[in-house]
Parts: sequence; structure tokens; C-alpha cells
Amino acid sequence: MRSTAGNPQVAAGSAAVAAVSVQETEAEPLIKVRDLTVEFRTQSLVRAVHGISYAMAAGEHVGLVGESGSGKSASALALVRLLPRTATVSGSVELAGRELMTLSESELREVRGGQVGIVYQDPFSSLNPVLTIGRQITEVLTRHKGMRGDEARTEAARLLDGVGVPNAVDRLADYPHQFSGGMRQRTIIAMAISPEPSVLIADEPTTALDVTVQAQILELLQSLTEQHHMAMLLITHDLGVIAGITQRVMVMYAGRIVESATTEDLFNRASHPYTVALHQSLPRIDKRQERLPTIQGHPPDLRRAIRGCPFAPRCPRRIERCKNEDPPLMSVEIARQAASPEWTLKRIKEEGGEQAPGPESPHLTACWNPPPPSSSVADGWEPT
Amino acid sequence: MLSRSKRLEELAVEGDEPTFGSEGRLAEALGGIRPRTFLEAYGIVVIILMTAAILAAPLLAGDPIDQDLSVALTNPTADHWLGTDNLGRDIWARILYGGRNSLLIGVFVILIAGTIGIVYGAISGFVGGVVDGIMMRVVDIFLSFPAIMLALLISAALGPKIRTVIIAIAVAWWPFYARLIRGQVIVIKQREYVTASRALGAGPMRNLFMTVLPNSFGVMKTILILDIGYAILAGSTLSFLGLGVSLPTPEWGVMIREALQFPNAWWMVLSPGIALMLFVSAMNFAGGVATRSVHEIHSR
Repeated sequence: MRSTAGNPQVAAGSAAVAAVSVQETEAEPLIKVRDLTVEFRTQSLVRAVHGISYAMAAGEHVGLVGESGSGKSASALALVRLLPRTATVSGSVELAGRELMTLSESELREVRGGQVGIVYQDPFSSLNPVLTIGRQITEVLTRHKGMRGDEARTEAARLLDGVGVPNAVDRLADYPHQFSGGMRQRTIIAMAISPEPSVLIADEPTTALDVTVQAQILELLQSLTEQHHMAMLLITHDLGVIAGITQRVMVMYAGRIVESATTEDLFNRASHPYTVALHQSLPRIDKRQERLPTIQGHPPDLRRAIRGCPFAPRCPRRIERCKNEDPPLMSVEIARQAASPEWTLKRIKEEGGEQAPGPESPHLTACWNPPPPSSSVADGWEPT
Repeated sequence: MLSRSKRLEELAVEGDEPTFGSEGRLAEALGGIRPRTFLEAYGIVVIILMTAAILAAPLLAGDPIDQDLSVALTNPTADHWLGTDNLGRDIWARILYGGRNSLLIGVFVILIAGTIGIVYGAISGFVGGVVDGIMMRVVDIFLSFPAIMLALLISAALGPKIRTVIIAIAVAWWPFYARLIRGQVIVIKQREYVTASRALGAGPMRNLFMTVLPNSFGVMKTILILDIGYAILAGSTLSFLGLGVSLPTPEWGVMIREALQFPNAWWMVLSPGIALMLFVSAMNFAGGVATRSVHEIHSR
């Protein structure tokens, strides 16, 4: 609307305004997360997610990468408040223009499953062992689509068939233990997509499966989300998994997003020392290595307040500034100059350097001294 | 005989959620029930025979209340297979009809105490937090009375009727079941499939009754079946103490109590005693099968 407001010609034609506003709603991101913070009250306070912001467009596939404990699952489950009671979530989550953080539990129940589907990591433990597969799928259909009886059963069989379970009609009567891991994950995917949510959160969907099945499941997720135009947030610790099926990747470390780029840029021009180190510790098929490099040290203890950049203690490129100031997520161009203290946080902001990852955002990194593009070790690692 | 909590806990430790299923479910369950040892086979046969006889009492015996003082206190004879009591009533008939009341007490005590205990304990464990704390303190208060005393107090207050016996024992027993199921529910509610079902939009009610409870129920089933025997015994105990079923209603515990006034009429005390012992011990022997079937299904 902003662009048309000053134009009397367009403002006169209401049809034209409507057309423009439709266009703009489409451009408006589907999910907007602002300053999402998750804290767990254990013996001490653990800040698992440290004020992250990002946006996702409808139909977009975004990878969320990080090691265990980096806050990737916690940040995703916090979107629909599915965390244990010990967790406190703050910040703002907007889904299709609706604020989720202020919703009541019963309103959230409509959102869960209905608008936000979740595929869990372990297919062996995320199905109810005492109910048949058919019962579990039809329950979701009844819950979110009001289907009952034969209609629901037919639809369940169709869904199961659609995710590639053979003899779907007969297998509705089976119990989860009669299914293999891959088939269980297919079932869970069928249940997650059955209410046609606009977002699918896939929390390490292939970690518990063997490699051949992994590829099939990823392909299935890819084709189903494209078919239904669902946005997908794919959480993983495996760079190989995101290479094939995401458009953008966000790398998390110590509860922060430390790098955000298109998948291609992330593999070819990694601009955060942590991402570079992650690439280096991947086994390479084209290079003979005696020993796989590892990242020295450990992730920081999230129970303590961290001074400076959380990656600094393990970082080969750390400079003086890293010890004292936590770098914001900023565009790579500015980050390359930001080593000098003239670039105060205020100036970075003023120059438009500090940004939240979104469908349109440039390559972002949270680093005072990002590695030069030439030092990328990812050559040979083309996205497939 | 009223304090079986230790036994319950032993069982509870071993149990976990069942993973059996379906059409296969009945077959598998029956497969588990197949007796393995002589004692188990014996237990099952005795239970079946005694239950059948008790249910068919009108075909097998005369009136249990009909008095005939001319034949009072006779030895077992061809007419009266197990003799007669002090009022000339046929003991065989009284055993069969008395068994009906005993069995009725056993089954209803378990149904009532089981239902109350399971619902109460499941809610307590599922809701957790302060609610759980308060609900479990109530259970602790109930458990801090000896169960037999609680039952005695209740039946003394409500007067000697079958209904009273059932209520008294059910009130004394439900806390055991509540505590047991609560423990299971707390374990199960942390399973990933419970979160997964929340992620699909399931509310707390659906979650508790469709997901958590059915998965917590495995061990309970065995214990409830086993406890029918103990409930019969408890009912007879109350009757024996004069606080249960009142005369002339036949019931095994009442019959033993009556018999004590006639120490020379050995048949009066022997028959109900043996009936009680046969049934409860058979229940125990057969209970092993149920226990095993649950464990086997779980370990698959």
C-alpha cells in the first residue's frame, strides 16, 4: 500500500488497489518471529534460545542447522508452545498475521496440527502403541476436518497411500509395532500433513532412520510440501540433509542465529567461522583425509551469561572485539568492515546492517571478523 | 490380607506400556493366557468350575434359606451332601448361593475401587503439580488408616448388607489403585507420542483418556484380576467379624462365623472354609498366567 498511497491514479481505481493489496499480502511473510527467547528453569536458568528473529514466506523451505543444545528444536517447538512446563517463552510469533504468543491453550490447539504440523525425530516413539494406525490418522481427520466413519477411513487410506505405504487399506488395521521405522515416519508425515497446515516443522525427521530410508523420507517431505504449498522448517544437525531440499538455511549456535544465507551461499561462501568449521568436519568423498577435523572445545555453558561472541573461545579468527561484544546478525558486507570499533552497534543499525533473516534478506552473519569468501572450504560440496 | 500394597509395587516395577495389538490382539492375549504349569492349569480349571457351579446354583441345589429343624445339624448324607446347619438348611445349597454373594462382592469391589482409583490417580498424575500434591496427600490419609480398620468403620456405620461390604472394601482399596496408576501415568505422559498427539491438536481430555491411560493400563489389568480373589477374602473377613452380610443371606464368611457356635458340627465350618480357600488360591495360581501374559506382551 505504501507505494500506491501517493499515486492518485491507482487510488482512484479501487480494483487496482485491491489487486495491489493482494500482491502485498502474498509478499508479507507467513511467519514472523521476533525476539523469541526460551528459558528453562532447572536448578539454574538455562537460556536455550537467545532472542532470535526470522521470517518465512509461504511455501518456503528453510533449514535450521546446529549441534545438539544449540536451541534449534526448542526455538521451533516454542512457536506453538509445545515445550515442557519448565520452559518460559517470550517474544512474538506471528502466523499469517495472527499473534500466537497471546493465544489461549484451546486456540493454540486449533493451530497445532491445523496450521502448524510437526514431524518428530523418532518414529519409534511418536506413535501411540495401543491404537491402530487407521485410528490415529482418522482421529486427526475428525479433529481438524470434521470427517467421520467411512469418509475418514477412506481419506486415511488415501493419505497413507499418498505417503507410499503399500496396501494402505489393509494396513489401517495394523498397530505401530507392525510397521518399520520408515513406514512409521511416513505415517507420521501423513498425519502431520492431513489437516493441510501452512507450515510443517520437521524436527530431525530422518535422524532415527537408516541412510537409504532417509533419502526417501526427505524426498517425500519435499514433494508433499511443494504439492500443498506448505512452508517447511527443517531442523537438522546434518548439513547433507538440508543441501537438497531447502532454499535458505539458518545456522544456530548457543541459542542464536549466527548465519543465514541461501543454501547455495551457505555451502559456497560460508561466512561464519562456525559454519566453516561445520563444513570442515564433514567427511568428503572427493578428498582423502587421515583424520576428520573437529571443532576444538565445547559449546558454551548456557547457564551463565556469555560475554562477547559465544563462539569466540573456539574460534580461530577471534579478534579483540569478539571477547567483549556479542556480534549482531548483520549483512556480510558490513560484517567484513565491522572488525574496527568505529562500527558501533548504533552505526551498524543506521546503515541497515542489522537484519533478521527472511525470504528477501541478504547473506547474514553474526561475526566481527568473517572468513573471506575465498577461504570457503566447501568447494566440491555443491547443493544437490 | 487387606494390605497388598507391597505386591502391587513389585508388579508395578516390572510393567510398562503394552505394545500388543489388534486382531492379533485377542489371539496374542489368549496366547499369553495359555497355562504353562500344572498349578496354573489347576487354578484356571477350578475357577471355571466353581464359577459355573455358582452361576448354575438353582439347577444344582435347593433353597439355601429353607429351614427344616427336623434335620438340623446332620452329618453329610445322600440328601444333604455337605450336611445341614443348626437350622436344618442345606449347606451345599448355602455354599453355592453364598458363592454368588462372595463373587458379587469380589467383582463389584474391583469394579468400583478400580474405576475410582484409576480415574483419580490418572487425573492426579496427568495434571501434576499442586493438584497432584493435594490429591496424593488425600490418598496418603486414606492409606494411613489400616485398610481393615477403615472397612470395619464403614460397614459398622452403614449396617450389615452386601452393599455395605462392597462400599467398605472399595473405599479402603481405591487409594492403592490410585497410587499405582498415577505412577504409570507420570511415566507415560512423558513419552514422545503424547507430545506428538498434542502437536496434532489433541486436548488434555483426549490426551489422558485416548493416549496416556490406555498405555498406562497394562499392569493394572493383572492386578485387578488378581485382586478379585483378595476382595472375596476381604468380604468374607468382614462377614466373619459380623460386619458384613447378615443372616440369613448365605455368604462364605458368615457361614464360618455361624459354624463357630457349633464346634462339634465340623462340616459346618469345613465346607465354606474349603470353598473360600479353593477359590482364592485358584485365583492366585491363575493370576500368575495373567501376570506373565502382561509381561510377555510388554517384552516383545
